[in-house]
Amino acid sequence: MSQLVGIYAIAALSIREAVRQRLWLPFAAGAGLLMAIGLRLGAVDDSAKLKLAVVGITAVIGFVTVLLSILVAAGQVRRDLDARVAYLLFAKPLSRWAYVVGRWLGVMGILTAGMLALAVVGTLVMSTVFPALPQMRDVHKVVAWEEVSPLGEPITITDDSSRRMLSGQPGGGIRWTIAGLPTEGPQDGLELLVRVQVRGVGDQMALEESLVSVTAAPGKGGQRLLSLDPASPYGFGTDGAKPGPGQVVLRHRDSSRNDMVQDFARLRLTPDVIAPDGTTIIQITRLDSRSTLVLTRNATVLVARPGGGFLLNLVRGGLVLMASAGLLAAGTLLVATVSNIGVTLLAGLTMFFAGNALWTIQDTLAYEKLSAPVARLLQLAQVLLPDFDRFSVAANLAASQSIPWTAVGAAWMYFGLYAVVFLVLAWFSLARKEL
Amino acid sequence: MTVPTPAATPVLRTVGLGKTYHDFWGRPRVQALAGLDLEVAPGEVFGLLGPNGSGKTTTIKLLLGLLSPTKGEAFVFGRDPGDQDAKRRIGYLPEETYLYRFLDAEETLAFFGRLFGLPSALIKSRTDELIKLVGLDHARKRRLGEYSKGMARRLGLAQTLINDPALVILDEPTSGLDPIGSAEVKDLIIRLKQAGKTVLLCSHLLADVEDVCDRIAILHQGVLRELGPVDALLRADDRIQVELKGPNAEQLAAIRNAAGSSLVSVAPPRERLESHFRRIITEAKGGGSKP
Ligand SMILES: Nc1ncnc2c1ncn2[C@@H]1O[C@H](COP(=O)(O)OP(=O)(O)OP(=O)(O)O)[C@@H](O)[C@H]1O
Ligand SMILES: [Mg+2]
Repeated sequence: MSQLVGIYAIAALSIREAVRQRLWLPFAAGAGLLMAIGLRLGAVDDSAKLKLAVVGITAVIGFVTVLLSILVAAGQVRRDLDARVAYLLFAKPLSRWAYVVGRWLGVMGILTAGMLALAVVGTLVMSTVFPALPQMRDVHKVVAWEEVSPLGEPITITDDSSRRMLSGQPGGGIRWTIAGLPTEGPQDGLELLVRVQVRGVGDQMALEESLVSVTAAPGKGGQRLLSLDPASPYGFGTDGAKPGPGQVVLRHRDSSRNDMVQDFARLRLTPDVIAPDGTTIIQITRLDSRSTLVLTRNATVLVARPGGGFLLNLVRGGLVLMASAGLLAAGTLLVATVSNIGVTLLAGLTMFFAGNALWTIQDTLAYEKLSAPVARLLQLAQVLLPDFDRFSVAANLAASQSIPWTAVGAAWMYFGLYAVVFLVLAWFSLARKEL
Repeated sequence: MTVPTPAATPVLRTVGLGKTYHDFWGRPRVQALAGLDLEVAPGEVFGLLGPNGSGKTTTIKLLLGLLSPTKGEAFVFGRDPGDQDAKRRIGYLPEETYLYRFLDAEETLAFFGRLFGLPSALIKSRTDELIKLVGLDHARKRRLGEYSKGMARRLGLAQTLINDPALVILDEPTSGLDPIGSAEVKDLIIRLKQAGKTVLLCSHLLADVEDVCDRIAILHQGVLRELGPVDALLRADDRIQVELKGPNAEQLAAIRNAAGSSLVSVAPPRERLESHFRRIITEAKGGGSKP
């Protein structure tokens, strides 16, 4: 309890130190970069502009926080030990664990302030460059899916593949069960976003679109037709012909394109198709015999609702990025207690790059023939190394998909565990250190 | 030689305290301290003397829990070194001034005050008082990076007293100070003593030590060579010193005649501790064992 004042004093010292040593300069440079991005955007094609801007802003925030977490943690702790201020600190009633925690919190405080500033500048730049900020959407999870035969019989999907191909006789389809929808309050915000890959068969190879019907029901049976949002970018067909009621012309969408505003046909989900427990069953029925449709469990139909303002989501994304920065700060702090400044910086950066290159380990394990011990070692590394790609902040934001608080929580649980382990080790190492 | 046993619980006590520095691989490098037995009573001003590398700073670090002993034990206020409650009552001035260059004098004192959990009103009044005490009133808003060595030393001294400590440990407090500063430190120690504080003083300025210390210990190569009250240590039993104020030549001649062959010297009084210290160290170097 008495150590709280010490933790506070050290954390406040860290922040003051960073300000006095002009560590806000990287943040200012980052902000300048954001402005430059904003000004240069005129040169890029319209549909890609917004994505580029969002990815750019997220990258600047991620880069600056990561870099600073390593620089600040290494610099401050190493200086205390090298300049022997530590003699004086630990001759005071300051526990070594309180010192470690205080320094770490100080770094996080600096990063939080910088991240918030960059998010605000980024949002300002966006709102001057674009007529409107992207509308963020929250997506509900698919809990089950099944195939429906052209005769209307359900076919359980037993294999664990997440893709399904529909071809041959028309009238067959797929049903998705989606849970957790709001049953009270205004529901006109609920949207159904639909995207498929379309392929032709035989001499229809060039086929790019297919007629389908999209229906929904609160339970099995009783499917009701859903109508297209007039502002939907797709669904009406290229020739401008209006499809019949409940019918949608789905254009081919590459699976890599997932912008929630631009790449999905948008339909209204009415309250009458939602069961009292918040579930709904959505069905896509293939109506065009010439086409082959490729549908996936998690990316073909999305039930979306408004996901909050852009700035709020950017900040939540920033908090996710800061979780990984917190891990890096803790790891760097640990190395700083045992090694010199050069090694400490190198270790921090190595940690970051190793965490970002985890996919190479995955690929090596998947595609290379490895001897058993090497495979074992790589598997161990895969389990032990933190995966900095785990939470795709930039991709989600660029797709106008919101970053919910649960994602922030999950990121802090994941990276926080590493951070706690590193901090405990740092304390242990410092406690045993002879000054 | 007998160590006088103080009545109250000693503020500092070491029992066979020893420290051997090891290298990275755990091999013994230097024996900095070899079995030190000391007790310092409350209210005492205790001088720890010894040539460079004799183990004084090592002893202090052991007492503060900054190092762990390789043998023996140390107690501060009857507790283990490093005990938070013990540290709360200690003021420590390291042998070199280690402070944050990016803080100014007020911020430095406020920072250390906060580490002690002092309320901010108290921190403010003590900061004011201490900055004036060490004569830095004109530089209170300047960053320490701009301070001269002696100015930083003065602030280090102020920092030592921020928690109104019951035990003040000063490791060469006058290093880098001008003569006036040194004299002020001496006065300060005397005032601390009058206020009932315990002081552990390491210094190479033997005249000062002689003036302010009640007892001294002399270390050489980590071994205690001498321990006792300053007066007793410096009393040469078979000699008498006659001090005359402004004697004339006739008086001196008369004394010389009267004393005859038992006269040792006629000279102005010298810094006696200095010669005593030299003798102890010369003896120790000549293979003399611990007295
Ligand atoms: N960190 C260390 N590692 C190894 N040896 C050390 C270390 N610190 C001190 N020593 C050694 O321990 C011995 C005692 O050093 P100490 O600093 O206690 O001396 P001191 O009496 O304070 O000297 P000075 O008057 O120069 O300050 C010296 O031989 C020194 O070389
Ligand atoms: Mg020393």
